[in-house]
Amino acid sequence: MIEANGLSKDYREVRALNDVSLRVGRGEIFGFFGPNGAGKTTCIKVLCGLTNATGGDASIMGIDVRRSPVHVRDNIAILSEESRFYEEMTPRRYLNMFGKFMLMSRSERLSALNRASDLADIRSFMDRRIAHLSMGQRQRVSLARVLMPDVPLIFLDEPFEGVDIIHRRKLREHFREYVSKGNTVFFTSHNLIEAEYIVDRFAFIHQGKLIAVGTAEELKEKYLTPSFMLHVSDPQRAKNVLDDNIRLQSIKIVEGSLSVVLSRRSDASQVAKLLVQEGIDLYEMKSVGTMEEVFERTTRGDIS
Amino acid sequence: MSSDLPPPPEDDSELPPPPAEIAEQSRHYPKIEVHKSGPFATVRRAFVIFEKDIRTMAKHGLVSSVILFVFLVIIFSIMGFAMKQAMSFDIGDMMDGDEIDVPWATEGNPPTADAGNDRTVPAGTTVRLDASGSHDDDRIVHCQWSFWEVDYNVDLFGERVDYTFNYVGTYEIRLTVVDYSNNQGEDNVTITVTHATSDTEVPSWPDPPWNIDAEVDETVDFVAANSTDNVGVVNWTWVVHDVVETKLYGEEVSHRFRYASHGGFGVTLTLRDASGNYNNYWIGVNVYPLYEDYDWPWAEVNEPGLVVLGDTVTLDGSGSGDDSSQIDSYTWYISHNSTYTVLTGQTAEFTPSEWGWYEVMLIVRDEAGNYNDEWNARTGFIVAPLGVEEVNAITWKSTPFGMDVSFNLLTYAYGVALLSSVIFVGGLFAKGFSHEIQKGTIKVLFFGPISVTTTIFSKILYPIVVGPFLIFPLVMAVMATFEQSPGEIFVITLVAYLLVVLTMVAAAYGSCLIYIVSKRMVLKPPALSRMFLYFSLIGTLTVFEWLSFVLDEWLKVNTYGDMYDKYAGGIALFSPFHQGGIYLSSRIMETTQGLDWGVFLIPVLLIVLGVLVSRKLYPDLFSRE
Repeated sequence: MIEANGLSKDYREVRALNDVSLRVGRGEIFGFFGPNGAGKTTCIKVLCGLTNATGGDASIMGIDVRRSPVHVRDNIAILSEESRFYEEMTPRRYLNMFGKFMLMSRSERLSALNRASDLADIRSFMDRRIAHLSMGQRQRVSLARVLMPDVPLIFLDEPFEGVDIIHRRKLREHFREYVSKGNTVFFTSHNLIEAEYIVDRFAFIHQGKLIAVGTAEELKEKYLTPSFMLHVSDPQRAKNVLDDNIRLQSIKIVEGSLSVVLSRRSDASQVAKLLVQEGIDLYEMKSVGTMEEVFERTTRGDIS
Repeated sequence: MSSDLPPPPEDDSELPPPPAEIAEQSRHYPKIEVHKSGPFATVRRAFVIFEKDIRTMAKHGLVSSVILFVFLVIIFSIMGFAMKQAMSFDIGDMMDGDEIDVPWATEGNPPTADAGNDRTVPAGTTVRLDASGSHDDDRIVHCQWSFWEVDYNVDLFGERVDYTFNYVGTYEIRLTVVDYSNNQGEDNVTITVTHATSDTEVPSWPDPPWNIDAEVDETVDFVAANSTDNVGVVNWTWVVHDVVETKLYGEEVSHRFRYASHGGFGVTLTLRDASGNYNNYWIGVNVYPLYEDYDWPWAEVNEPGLVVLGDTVTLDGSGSGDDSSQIDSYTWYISHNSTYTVLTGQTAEFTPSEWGWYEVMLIVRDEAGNYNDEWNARTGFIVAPLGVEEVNAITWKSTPFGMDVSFNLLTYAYGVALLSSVIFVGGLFAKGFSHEIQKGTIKVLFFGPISVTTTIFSKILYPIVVGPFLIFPLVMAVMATFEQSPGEIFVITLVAYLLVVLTMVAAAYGSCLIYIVSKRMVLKPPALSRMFLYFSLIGTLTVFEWLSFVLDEWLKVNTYGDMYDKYAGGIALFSPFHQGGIYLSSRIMETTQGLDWGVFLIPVLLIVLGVLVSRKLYPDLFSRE
């Protein structure tokens, strides 16, 4: 779906992108993360043909981005963090206008507009001026715009900014369903906790360089210690069993739960087996490391 | 805990390769149908943006537009009325007492007329009428002497004129002097003509023929051989009051009556003896048509309007007709300063030899000999006075600043059109573009499949579509003050409109380039595209210019040409597209005007400087190309 090889982009003294190579396939939500000014938005602009790369090349669905930027944009939808509105318009007219940009027929526009407004739940303020909408409502109007066209690739730059929890969940479900049909979402956010619910593969960019790409498990395995929190029926006995049979970095009881740091993440399955063999009830076992920690590790906390 | 963590990655070499399963997985999905929006997508999308802008402006700018429209009409109308008042010029009793307006300004002080002293002279004396004592701040351009002699009016023209007074009587002669700025001064002089000898007996014609019947085309002889006087009749003056008044001299004269009389013509004979005694006799002449025909023809002539000295006037009587028969002849009588020029034909061409008012009368005759007898057979035209080279470029000398100002009616109309266009269209255009630039909404547009070209095109639609609705009514309304022909105003406005379109197209390109540079816009045209923008701009303007020349040629108005004739030097210096238009004209229409290649120097310098300055200010822009 997306292929980028050695992309670089210079702004005067600043190298916004430095030899970035990507390959994003169909049916996945690809998360693109990095600190402010890391090059996320620049990368999206390059991939959408909104600006030319200084070096390297990219293609979307096989279309050369540099040669045919408008052709690329014919087949994608973009939600940018820089979204601005025609304040005097109503959402209905605004979305209708974009339908026209997509060269949809009247009936297609009507159907797409109804579907998108239901998904983004904007019907209650469809005929109010955008100038009078709250930040979250505006963001949902933007999301409705992205949801209108029937395209196989959507770029979402901070899509849930200002959107309430109920609508976030609904939209997440929609995007999961969307990719299940072979479509792709290119997603950026600063909220990695939320991203874990939705993103299939993560890519971290820092100072214009792509520093890590992989699934949550892969990245956690690579960058985090295998730390788990166990909720068991007998914490003290479980501590003894694990301490005697598995190579651990540390183990301790914290507020009735067992905190375990393994030497190897692959030993996690042994932990569950052992406890069951010893007749200790295992109510819950969860990995303690988060993608935020992976992010922190990969960027070495060096965020300017 | 952290001390036991693996070190963070140093470079991309530690990144996992792109997942191989992606390609495998993709095989299970239905094929993506990539679509392309086709060649007319740009136009369709541009219209969407245009529609959006127009709706917004209609919502927020309609009231202010109406107010602006009314304001402009009032302001321009007041200006026009003031100019018209200043230009109003009455040249005597030219046409049934109507005042004729010419584009001529006035200065403050009227001339002082001096007709000389009253005199008493015996009959037969040639008197010099001398107006050289008249005075004006500037200069006197017109002297006219008017008086009544026997039973007809005499008009003499010139600062010094000689006239022989043959008839005894008292002559009140009015001198009218007109200065360069059309101010008039008047003075009277009285010439008393006394008997040349002691004889006071008037001549007589004992048995005049009181009525004569004749047929059309018949030549009638008038014989006054039996007229008598105690010392002898020395002069017989016959005034034939035919369709056109004709004077004949002699004891025996003949006159061919070409038209049926419609109730009777008249002939006056004035007998005069050597002492200055005279006597008048009236003879009625009934001229009958060749056959019974009571449908008289009608004549209709065109209005030549204002004429510059040296121009040839084309008189057209093709609107004439007759209900029951055919028009047999067209005869044009052009009078000027008591002289007649007679021309024939349905259309006639006439080249005035001197300035002033020319009265035109067309007499058409049907096959029976009837003639028209209506006012629409008459017209007149003004030939610009001596010293004034061009009617539309008369110097207006008395401005409030004491400077000479060239006044040109066409330029005024053009100025109104251009100014109002810029105010209206430019305002709308600027609003549309600045709206998108300032609010950054243009970025939103780019998040759809919108290109720079689309946006530019949508802006070009402003002057093209909106212009006629705003510019034409306004100029038409304002120019109504001048009673200019609607066709001419239309052409003037059209030319202005085309130029505004050019200006706005240039502004569209310019704005976009400026925007690209200043805002580091998302799409950076490569050097080739940039050059294309420059050249397409020049090309567009060139074609428009050339179309204007073609329009001029086609309509035979030469409005555009006249303007360039007058201002060519200034305009052409900055106008490579003007030269382009000339080139196209010379190639396609085989005109003879040559190119001035020197004018390309400035634009080339501007482009070179522009590129150099841009490179200095925005080096990254060029490095990215």
